[in-house]
Amino acid sequence: MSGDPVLDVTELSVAYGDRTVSTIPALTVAPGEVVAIVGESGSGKSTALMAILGLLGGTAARVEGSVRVLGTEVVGASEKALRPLRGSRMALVMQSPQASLNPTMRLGRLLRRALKRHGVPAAEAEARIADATRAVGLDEALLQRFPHQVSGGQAQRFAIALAVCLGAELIAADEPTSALDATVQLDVLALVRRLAEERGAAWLVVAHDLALVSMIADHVLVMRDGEVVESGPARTVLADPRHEYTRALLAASPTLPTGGAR
Amino acid sequence: MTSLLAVDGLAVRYGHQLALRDFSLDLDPALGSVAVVGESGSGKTSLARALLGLVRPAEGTIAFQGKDIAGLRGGAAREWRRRVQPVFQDGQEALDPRRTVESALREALRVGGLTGARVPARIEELLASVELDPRLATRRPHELSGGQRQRVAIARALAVGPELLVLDEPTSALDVTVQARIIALLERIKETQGVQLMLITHSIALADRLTERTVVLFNGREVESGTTTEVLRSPRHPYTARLIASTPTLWGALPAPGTQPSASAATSGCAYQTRCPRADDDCAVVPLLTGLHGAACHHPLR
Ligand SMILES: Nc1ncnc2c1ncn2[C@@H]1O[C@H](COP(=O)(O)OP(=O)(O)OP(=O)(O)O)[C@@H](O)[C@H]1O
Ligand SMILES: Nc1ncnc2c1ncn2[C@@H]1O[C@H](COP(=O)(O)OP(=O)(O)OP(=O)(O)O)[C@@H](O)[C@H]1O
Ligand code: SF4
Ligand SMILES: [Mg+2]
Ligand SMILES: [Mg+2]
Repeated sequence: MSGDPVLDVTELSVAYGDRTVSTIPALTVAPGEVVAIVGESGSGKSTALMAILGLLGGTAARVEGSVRVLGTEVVGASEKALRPLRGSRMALVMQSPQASLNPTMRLGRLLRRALKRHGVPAAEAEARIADATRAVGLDEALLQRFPHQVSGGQAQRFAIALAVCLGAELIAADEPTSALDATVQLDVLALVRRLAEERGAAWLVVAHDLALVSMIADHVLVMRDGEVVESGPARTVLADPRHEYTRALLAASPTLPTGGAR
Repeated sequence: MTSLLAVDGLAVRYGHQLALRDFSLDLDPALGSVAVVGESGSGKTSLARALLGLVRPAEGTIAFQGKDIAGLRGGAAREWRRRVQPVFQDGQEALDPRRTVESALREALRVGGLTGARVPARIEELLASVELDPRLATRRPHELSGGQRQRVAIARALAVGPELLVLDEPTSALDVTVQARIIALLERIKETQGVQLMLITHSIALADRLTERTVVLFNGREVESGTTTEVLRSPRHPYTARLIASTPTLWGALPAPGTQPSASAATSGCAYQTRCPRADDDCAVVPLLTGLHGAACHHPLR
């Protein structure tokens, strides 16, 4: 798919005090593209996602450089300027979503409210909710529950369903399937690809499982110690890694000694 | 022999929602480590919560050295809380947001009986064992990355000097190189300190490396159990087989659109019916789990 990039990052850097914890020299994501960020724990992956979505304002973080989402500059933008982008245009699926959901509202109501706020008519909202919950393998009966009343994996699927419902054009997801069992994980990965291909959604996905990355990503960014050490098409990076750290990542990928029940 | 922890006929209920039913398991250092795998929402965390006394059994009992944990008081309760240590899914939840890493470890060491001059050296050792930069010791949980928090939670649990670690997805937020080192650490403490694990995980590879027995849960029921080798290499229940076959592989294919199974479990008979390729009329009756490598299925794979 072609068209203007959904995301265009130049010289992004995030620092706490005098420590720079995450830098991305350049990154563009086109509609329909899935970009994966992999790398060591503490290398700055989550920080990069937060900065890209403009979620570090009002924290101790110092953000520099430029991040354009659908043409709007995010770095230094006020919360008011970002509001039109949030939800329906860009969405974040957090590393552990449970804590970030409003605890006083049932999941169904959270969905309906978000859709209403984005001007989706009630009848269409119901159809979208039904589609999205089915796509992430979430039993609709769970929408009657409060966030703390569902399991870790159910909360994670809810967070994905929320982003999907709103039809976000840029979806940033931090380890979106880490709490899912393998059978559900595969379905969610298929959903990521499908939304990219059919709706042109652009995805920025932090993941640590390189096998998983190979199944969905077009482009891969490898981070270490706050820096991008390798970046390129998934085929190239994973099949012929240039950087020693990428090779170590591939070598350390856990596999089952036998093929199991395959 | 009385086991360190004996679970007998346990059911966990939230309101009218039955999260786990009729579950029995002996946990003891002499019996080796146990993996609990299964569907998201199948009751794994509920089981862990019950073992730690965080949720009261709706039915059945959990005994610590032969005594029901519901009635433990004073010294016996402290022993149980010391010897059975949790590491939860999200490190953030387990760590006090106001305490620095160092203060959390100091407190855990105190509970384990260590105070005084040897504390700083032991803290350094603990941080090194989970591969955390000693400079992180002055940080609070929100100033750490997800994987760093998870490692602090593991170090904190080890500091207490437990015999059984109840680990809920301990490496889910770690990149594979750190994951490999944490696995090596857990292997080491199993061997050198005789600590055993109850490991809740979505990773078949992790269960394979770290445990001797495996229990598979589906929709609140145990559907298969046996030695880890048997269950993972020769699964009998159709769900276990699908779980193992779904593990991502490099350049593996994604399921075709429209092949998604129903999200809701069957309300009567075998709960896996709505997705099972082997389902037939027999499956209207709930299958029972029997035998050493048992599978709760009318038509097991082997
Ligand atoms: N509020 C903060 N104050 C100071 N340092 C922080 C803060 N938040 C994060 N950091 C540090 O910034 C670095 C990058 O953190 P980040 O959360 O982006 O890592 P990550 O790549 O997502 O790691 P993981 O895979 O473990 O989640 C880490 O070393 C972390 O300790
Ligand atoms: N407080 C609660 N109130 C009502 N239902 C709950 C509550 N907590 C959990 N449940 C439900 O109980 C069932 C078991 O949840 P549990 O957290 O034990 O699952 P799990 O196997 O750990 O799943 P995951 O792999 O997704 O973490 C789920 O269907 C969940 O929705
Ligand atoms: S009892 Fe029937 S539906 Fe259930 S797992 Fe076995 S074959 Fe499948
Ligand atoms: Mg992170
Ligand atoms: Mg859980």
